[in-house]
Amino acid sequence: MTSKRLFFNAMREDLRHRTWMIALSFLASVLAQPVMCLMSWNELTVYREYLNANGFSPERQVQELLLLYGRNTLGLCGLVAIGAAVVAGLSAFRFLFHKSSVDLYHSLPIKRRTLFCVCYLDGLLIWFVPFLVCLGMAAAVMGSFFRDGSVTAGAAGGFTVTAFSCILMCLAVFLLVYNLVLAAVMLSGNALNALVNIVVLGFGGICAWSVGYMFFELYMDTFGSRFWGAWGATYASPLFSAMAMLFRAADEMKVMLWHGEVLRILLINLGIAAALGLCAWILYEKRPSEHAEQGMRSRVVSTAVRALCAVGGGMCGWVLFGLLSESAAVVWGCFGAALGTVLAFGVLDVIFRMDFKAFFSHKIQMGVTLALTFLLCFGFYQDWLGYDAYLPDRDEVAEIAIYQYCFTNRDLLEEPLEKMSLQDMDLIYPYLESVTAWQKEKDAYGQSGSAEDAETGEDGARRVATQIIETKVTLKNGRTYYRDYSVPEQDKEVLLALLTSEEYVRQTYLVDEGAAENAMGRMTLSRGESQLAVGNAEPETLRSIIRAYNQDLTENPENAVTRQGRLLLRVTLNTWDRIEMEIYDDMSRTVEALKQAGYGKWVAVEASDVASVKLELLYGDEDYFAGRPVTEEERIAAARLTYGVYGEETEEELRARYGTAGDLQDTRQAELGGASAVEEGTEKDSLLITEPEEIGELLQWVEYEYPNRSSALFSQERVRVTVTLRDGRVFPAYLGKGRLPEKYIYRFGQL
Amino acid sequence: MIEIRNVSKSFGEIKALDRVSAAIGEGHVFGLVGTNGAGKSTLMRLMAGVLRPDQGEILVEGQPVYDHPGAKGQLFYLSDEQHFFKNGTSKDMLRLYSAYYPGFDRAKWRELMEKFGLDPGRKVNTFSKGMRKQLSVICGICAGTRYLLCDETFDGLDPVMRQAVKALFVREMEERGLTPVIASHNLRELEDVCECVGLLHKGGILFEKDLDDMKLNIHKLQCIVSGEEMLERMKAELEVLTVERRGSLCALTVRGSREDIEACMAGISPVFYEMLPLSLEEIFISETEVRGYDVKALIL
Repeated sequence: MTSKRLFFNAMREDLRHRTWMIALSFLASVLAQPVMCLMSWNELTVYREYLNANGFSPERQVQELLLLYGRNTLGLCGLVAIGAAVVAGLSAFRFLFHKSSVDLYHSLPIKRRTLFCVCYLDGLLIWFVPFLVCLGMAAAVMGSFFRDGSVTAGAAGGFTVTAFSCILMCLAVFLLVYNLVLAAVMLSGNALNALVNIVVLGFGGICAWSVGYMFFELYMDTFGSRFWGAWGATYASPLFSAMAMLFRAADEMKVMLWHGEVLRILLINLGIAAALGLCAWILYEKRPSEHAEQGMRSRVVSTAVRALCAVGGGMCGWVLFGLLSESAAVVWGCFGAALGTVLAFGVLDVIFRMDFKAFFSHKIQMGVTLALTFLLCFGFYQDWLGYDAYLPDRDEVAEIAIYQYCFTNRDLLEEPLEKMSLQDMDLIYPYLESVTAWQKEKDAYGQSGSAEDAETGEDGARRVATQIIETKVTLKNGRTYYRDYSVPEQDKEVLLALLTSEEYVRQTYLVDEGAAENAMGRMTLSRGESQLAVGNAEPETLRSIIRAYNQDLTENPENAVTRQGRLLLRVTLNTWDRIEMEIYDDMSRTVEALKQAGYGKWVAVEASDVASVKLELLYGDEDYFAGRPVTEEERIAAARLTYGVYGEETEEELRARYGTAGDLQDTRQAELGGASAVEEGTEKDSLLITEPEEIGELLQWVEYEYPNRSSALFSQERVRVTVTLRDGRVFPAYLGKGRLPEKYIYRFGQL
Repeated sequence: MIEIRNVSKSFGEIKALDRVSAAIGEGHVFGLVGTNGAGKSTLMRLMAGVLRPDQGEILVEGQPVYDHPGAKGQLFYLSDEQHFFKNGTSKDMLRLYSAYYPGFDRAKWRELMEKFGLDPGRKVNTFSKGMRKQLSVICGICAGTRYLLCDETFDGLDPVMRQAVKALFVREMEERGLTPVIASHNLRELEDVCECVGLLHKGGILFEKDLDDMKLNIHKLQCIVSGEEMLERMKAELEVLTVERRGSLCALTVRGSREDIEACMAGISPVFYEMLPLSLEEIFISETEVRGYDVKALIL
C-alpha cells in the first residue's frame, strides 16, 4: 500500500469514528452563521432604513450593514471555533488515554508521524469544512437580503476582504486553542489531567501575572499602573489570548487585518500556535505508550506545574485571609498561604497520580513550595528587595521623566513619560533622594506618621501632605523603571524645581501653535459662571494668544504650575486633548494679547460695574457656638481663621483658644463643595461691601476662577466670596487666604 | 525471523525486562512462557512495536520494529485486552484493519465469522469475553501478516473454541507459513501446540528451545538408592536440576539424553530406577527452581 493511500485510508477511517463531532460542528456553525443571519434580518432591515433616511450611499449602506452583521458573526464563529478546538483536540488523540487502544493504534503499520498528521488534519477539517459550508450559506442569505441589486462591485470586494479576514481570524483562533489542547493531551495520561493541563497552559500566564500585579498593588507603595509583561502574559495564555484577539478583531472590524495592531496580534498568535503544534508533535513522537491511563508521566512538567500552581494558590490564600481579617492580617495571611499552598499542591498531586492517597506523597517538594510561598509573600510584604526605596547611584542615572495630572494644562497627554527627558542631575537626583528617603521613612514608621511623630508618640496627629508623581527613571545601562513616588510637603521645593524646568514646561504646558487650527471655532473663555464660546476666532488671533501664553510660561512658569497666583480667566481650546490655559495676573503678554483680540472685559472686572461684594464668615464647628450668643472676640477669631489673617497670633494659637472654629478641613470643604456653612448662615454672618473704593480695593485680590486641578502641595487656599454686578448678575469669586485687609476682619466683630 | 537483541525495558523503577535475547524462527508456533510479572506482555508489546526498548533492539526480518511500518506490517498483535470501538460492530473492526493491512482477506473474514457463529453487524460490547477473543483472532488471522503475536489469547475461550483456534493456526501455518507467537502462563495449553518455547523469568530469558528437544533432553528419574554415597555419585555424574528425597526413594530431574542417563545409571546400579517424561509444566518448575524460584515454598 502506498503511503499516500494509507494516509487517506487512515483519515477516512478516523473520520468515520468521529461522525458525531462532524454533526456537532455543523450544527454549531449553522446556528452561528446562516441562522444568526436570518435572526438578524429585522435588525438589518431597521438599520438599512436608518441609513437610507440619513442619506448614506448604497455602497456605504452595504458596507455598514455587513459590518454590523460581521461583528456579531465573528464573535459567535470565534466562540464556536474555540469550543470545536477543545472538543476536536481532546477527541483527536483520545486513544492515548487507554492502554488497550494505545496497543491497537501503536501496533498498526503506520508511522507515528503519519498517525499524528492523520488525527491532526481530521480534527482541523471537522471544524473547518462545516465552517466554510455555513459561511457559504450565510453569504447566500445575505445575498438575498441585497437582492435589489444594491451591491456594487466595490461593496462585493469589501465583503470578500472582510470574509477572508474573518476566516483567517477564526482559523488562527482555532489553531491556537487546538494546538494548545493537543500539547496538553500529549502531557497527560488521561482526560482529567488533560483538562487540568489545558487550564494551566491556557490561563497560567495571565493568572501568574495577575497574582504578581495584585501583590505589587497591595504591598508596593510606589507601584503604579505600569506593570511590565501584560502582553507577554496574554500571549503566554493562549486560551485568554484567543478570546482577546477575537474581541479586538470584532472591535476593529472595519479595518480588521489592515489595522497594523490586529495584524501584529494575529501573526504573534499564529506563531505561538505553530510553536504549540510543533511542541505537541514532538511530545507525541517522544511519548511512551505506557503513559496511557496514568496521570502526568513527566516528572519535570508535573513538578513544575504543581509548584507554580501551589505558589499561586498560596499567594491568593495570603491575600484572601489577610484581607478578610483586619487585625492580625499577617497571621491570617500566613494561615491562608499555608492552606492555599498545601491544598493546591496536594490536590494536583492527587490528580497527577490519580490516587487519593497521594495528597502528601511529595512531602519534601510540598515543604519547599510552602517555603517559597512564604518567601514570596513576606518578600512582598516587607519589601525585602527594596522595590520602593530603590535608589541608583548618581552616576548610574541617565534621565528621568515625571508626570502628574494636576501639573499640566490639558486633559490628555500622549505618553508623557516616554517623551519627556529631564537630564539635569542637580535637579533630578535630589528629587530621587528625597522621594526614596521619604519612602524609607514611611516604611519604617507607618503610612500616617513620620519619624518625628513616632518619636514624640504623636503618630497620626500630624498628617503630612504628599503628592503622588508618576516617575520613569532611565539608567545609563538602558534599563528603565517606573514608580509612583510620594513627594512630602517638606520636599516640595525639590519637586517644584523639576516642574518649572524648561523640559517639563515644554512637554506639559506649552501649547503648539498648530492647535490654533485644530481648535478653530472651538475656543471657550470662562470666568466665574460666565462663559464665552468663540466660534469665529481667526487662527492668527488664536496663534498670538498661544504665542504670548507660551512666552509668559517659559519666563515664569511658577504660578501656572503651583496655581498660587491670582487667576483671571480660563481659556479652553477644544482640541482632542482639551487644553486649558489658565491666565494669571502676572502673565502680562497673554493679558495684552487677549485685550488686543477683543476680550479685555474678560480679563478683569471693572469696579464701576460691581454693586457689592459679600464676604462670609465660616464657622467650622457650629456646635461650639450653638445655643449661646457669639462674642465679638469670637467672631473676629472666626473671621481670622476663615480668611487666614491671623494678626499677631499664629493659626495654632487661635485654634487653641477658639476650639475648632474655622477648622481648616471644613473650610476647604466649604470652598470646594459649595460652602454649606455660608448657605446656612444668617445675615449676621455676612459682610456686604458696597463702597466703590472698598470694592476697588477688594477687586485687586479677587479671582473669578478656581483652579481646576489643585495639588496637595501647592494649593493656594481660597475663600469664596459673592460678587453682585450692577445689572443684577451674581457670580462666585475667590479670595486668597491672608489677603483680606485687617479692617474687614474687625468689621466682622461689629456684626 | 524476529530477533530480540539484548533488550531491556523499565517502567519507572521497575525493571520489566533485563537484557533479553531470543530468536523466533518462521513457520512454527513459538510459546512464550513465564511466571507472573516475568515480562511476557512487555516483550510482546515490544515485539509489536508498541513500546520502545530502553536498550537493545528488536528486528523483524532485519528491520527494527519500533515506528517502522515495514516491519510492523508483518505482524499483528492481539493484546490480552483487545480494543474495540465503543458501540462499534465487528464490521467496524474489519474496516479499521482493512485500512491499515493491505493483505487483509475480507472473504476469509466473512467465512470465519460465519463458521464461528459471530454476527458481523452486532455491537461488540454485547459480545461475551470469549466471543471478543474469537473476533480478535479472526481479525488477526485475516490480516495476512507473517507473525501473529497473541498475548493470553486462549484465556476465556471454551475448550472447543481453543481447539478450533489451534486448528486455525495450524491451517494457516500450513497454507501460508504463519508464525504464531503465543504468550501464556497456561503451559498445558501451549504443550500441544508449541514447537518452540522461550521461558521468561524475572525479566530475563532462561532458555529458548525446541519443545521436543527439550522434552527429550530432560527427564524425571525415580530411584531407590542404597546409601548416601550412591546419591552423591548420581549428582556428580548426572546434570541434576532438582532432588526430592523420601527415605531411600529419590526423585531427580535430570538433564541429558535418555541414552546417556541410562548408561550412567547402569554404572551406578541403584536398587531400582525408572525414567519418566516431564510435562512442560514440570520442566518450567524445574528450570525456574534452578534459578531460585522456590515453587514449593509458595505452595507450602
